Amino acid sequence: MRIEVSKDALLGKEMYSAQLTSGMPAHFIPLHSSVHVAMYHVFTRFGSIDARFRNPAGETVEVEDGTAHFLEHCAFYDQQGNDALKWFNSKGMLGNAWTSFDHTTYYFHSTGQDVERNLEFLLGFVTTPYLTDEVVKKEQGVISQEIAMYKDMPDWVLSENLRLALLKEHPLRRSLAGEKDTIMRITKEYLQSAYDTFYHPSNLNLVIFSPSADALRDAESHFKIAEDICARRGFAHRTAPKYLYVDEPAEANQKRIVSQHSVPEPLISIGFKGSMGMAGAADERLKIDMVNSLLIETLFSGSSEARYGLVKRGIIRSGAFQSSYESGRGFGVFDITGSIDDVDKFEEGVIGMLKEQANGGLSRDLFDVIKSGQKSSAAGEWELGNAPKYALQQTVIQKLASGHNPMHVLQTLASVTYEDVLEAGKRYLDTDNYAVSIVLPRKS
Amino acid sequence: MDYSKHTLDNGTEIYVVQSDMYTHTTARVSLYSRSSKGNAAKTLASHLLMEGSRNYPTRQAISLASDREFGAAIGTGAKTAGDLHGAAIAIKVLTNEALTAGHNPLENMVGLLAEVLNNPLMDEGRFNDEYFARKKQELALSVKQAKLDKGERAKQRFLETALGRGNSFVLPATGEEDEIMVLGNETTAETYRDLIAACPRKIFVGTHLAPEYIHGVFARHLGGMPKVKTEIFIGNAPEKQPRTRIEEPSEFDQSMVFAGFPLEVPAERLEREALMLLNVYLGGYFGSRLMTEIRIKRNMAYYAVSELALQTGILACKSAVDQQNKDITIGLMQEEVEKAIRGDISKEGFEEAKNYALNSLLRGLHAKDSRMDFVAAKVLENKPSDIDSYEERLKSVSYDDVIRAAARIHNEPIVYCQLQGEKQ
Repeated sequence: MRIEVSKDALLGKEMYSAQLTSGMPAHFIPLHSSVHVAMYHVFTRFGSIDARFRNPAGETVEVEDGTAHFLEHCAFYDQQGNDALKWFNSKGMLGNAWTSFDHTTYYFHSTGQDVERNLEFLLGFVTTPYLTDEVVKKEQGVISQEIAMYKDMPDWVLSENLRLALLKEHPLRRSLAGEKDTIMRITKEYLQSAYDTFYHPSNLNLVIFSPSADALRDAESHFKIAEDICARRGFAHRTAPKYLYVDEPAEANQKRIVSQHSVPEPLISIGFKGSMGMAGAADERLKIDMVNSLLIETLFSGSSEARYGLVKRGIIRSGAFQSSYESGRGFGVFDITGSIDDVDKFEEGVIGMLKEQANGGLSRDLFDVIKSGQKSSAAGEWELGNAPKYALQQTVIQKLASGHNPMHVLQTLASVTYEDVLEAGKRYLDTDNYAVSIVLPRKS
Repeated sequence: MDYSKHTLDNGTEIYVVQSDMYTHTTARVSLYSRSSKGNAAKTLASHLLMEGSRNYPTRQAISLASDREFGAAIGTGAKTAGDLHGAAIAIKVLTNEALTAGHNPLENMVGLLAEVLNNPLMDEGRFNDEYFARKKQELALSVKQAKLDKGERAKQRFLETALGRGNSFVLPATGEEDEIMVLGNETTAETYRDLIAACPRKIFVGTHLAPEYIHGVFARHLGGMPKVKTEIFIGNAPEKQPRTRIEEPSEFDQSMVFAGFPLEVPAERLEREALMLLNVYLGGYFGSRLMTEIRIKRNMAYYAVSELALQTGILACKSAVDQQNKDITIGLMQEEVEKAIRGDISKEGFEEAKNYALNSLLRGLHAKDSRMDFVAAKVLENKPSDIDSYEERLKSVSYDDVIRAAARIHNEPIVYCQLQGEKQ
């Protein structure tokens, strides 16, 4: 087995990668040897944006909103119909999963004991569906309560509506968890079709984080265990699924969506399209993501004079304002969100500030300061933070799911220049092609 | 779980947790006082510190000074712990010299922290009027927001149902909106001066650096602050209002239910740890009794958990369900706790819960913030010895210990339901 080593020279971190005989890519990321948590993940590039796809028979299938998330719930049963989470818990481990726009991840955290038994269980339940009418009905009950939980969050509604307003064609428009009525239409046959397309062993990716004092030796031993499991289970290579991407026009779908929720004053989000589509090599797309992230961080950093000007003029509130660039497989969206009494003033003020900054107002000194600070946040993720949700696992898997090498992130970031950021500002933010989502206080 | 304690000559206590895996130093300076109607002024004063200081007269200037130190972060805030209010200022700094080209920005960041804490932008006994008006409005809005947040509102109303409105263990750190609206600039400035001059000061630090070095840095920058007494502890668990049930309407899509049970807080450490394991067994993991009965068997909820609060002496079960299932959910919560009280605890289930708890503890031992929070909680509870040999002690808790500890729970449920509203 050929093992490749990728290095993040700036942080002194490494990732060991190999392709198993079954076609499954496997990655081993050593953690500090004093850590007691080992984290094992299997992810597939199937998320809420994969609403239309070509199944193994070559037919185009369109699924209901929330299918990827529903499948995540249903996959968590072993071949006897027992809940896999309970199995992990009974052995002292934490098991869980997450579904995002572009991938679904299953994982467990252990203390590093019984690797073969635990990994075989993980790969076993993820690759052998237990899809019955009973399981589907049961999960419809649980997921409808999960959806109710999300719907009671104003931020969730604000964000869903922003994507609806901004995007015309892109499936990022679709609800990640679905709606109560769409999940009631999901059947086991439906789930089986998605499963057959995206959950074949050769479409899965194995990602292991483990404390290690000898990374190459530990990577080899983990890959050997995974290889043996794949051989025992007869996993064979198969061509990757055909993803159906759509072209997203430059124009926003609609200018504004206004809704009501339990908020003391209006919430407003302004969205811009970033880089949409899969054009270019993976490293080029990674660079675009890094440029856009640095752009939004520089523009709206707490250290920005332009942002502070908005605070002084009462256009935004410093304690109720955030901005981000969210990207994934074939999409990138800028989001500028705040809570404020006058949403028109917010929109006008923020758009005016963006145009001014994109046309040369952006501070070169601040760009340098923000760029140099990125190493601190990247290094901070390796401290792992509080269990159970570690930013490191999500960051690394999100990058891998997007087709990027997570060890290349900081060096790509280091190559970003002030001119790159200024150009991105002109391209993506100096435009009237933006959309607005507003949540007003409920009249009652 | 290891930590070291240092005390400055002015009474400031420093608690340091250390690991060579950390690349950053996190430090939180907290000023403690008894929770009261004065919480609003204390919190507002702490928020105002970040708006500007003598040498960094704007929020942006403070942020830029911090960003220049290799992307360090600085912030202020306040929260309650039992019947204490803690106004805090915190920093997080990259201190691994391999990543900072031989520089150590900690000295400058603790200097900035000291500047923000001790040198606020005040003239003639008043905070800057513009900043004061802005932060007062923001604090009032955050209180309104908390009252409209499904989870926060339900939790607060449950505590008020259990302990009585106005109880010092229930008072929010922010104070109430009407308390904020009547705050004057001079009063808030006076409160700030009291916080600095008289409130016990405790610093919690997580770092890879030597504790003695940390002591030295804080001595240089905070050693000149006024001398304060060191002792302040969370008070005894308050009286509860047993057998109370309140149902209130809401506008949400889902009902939230709480069933709380008063308990005698054990003086013995072993019994406190036994209660913690009982909490895991009842509602602390996916295979717990509550998750099994409410989610796994009946598909009624996404989550059903229990939370043990030794500071207030309440074991609380919580879930979010459709309104039609609220009574059956409460019934199941009561049934599970009743069974535990009478000793009907599955031995196999207990062993599983204990194994899960011990493994979780081991897996999370690296977590800096959790370690700092744990040390802070035990110091404020005046039970610092509970930190020593924590893992070993938890291992020694037996099934019989848990049965004995469970008998301390009173079968006198306190129920709070936030009913779902009409669909919009």
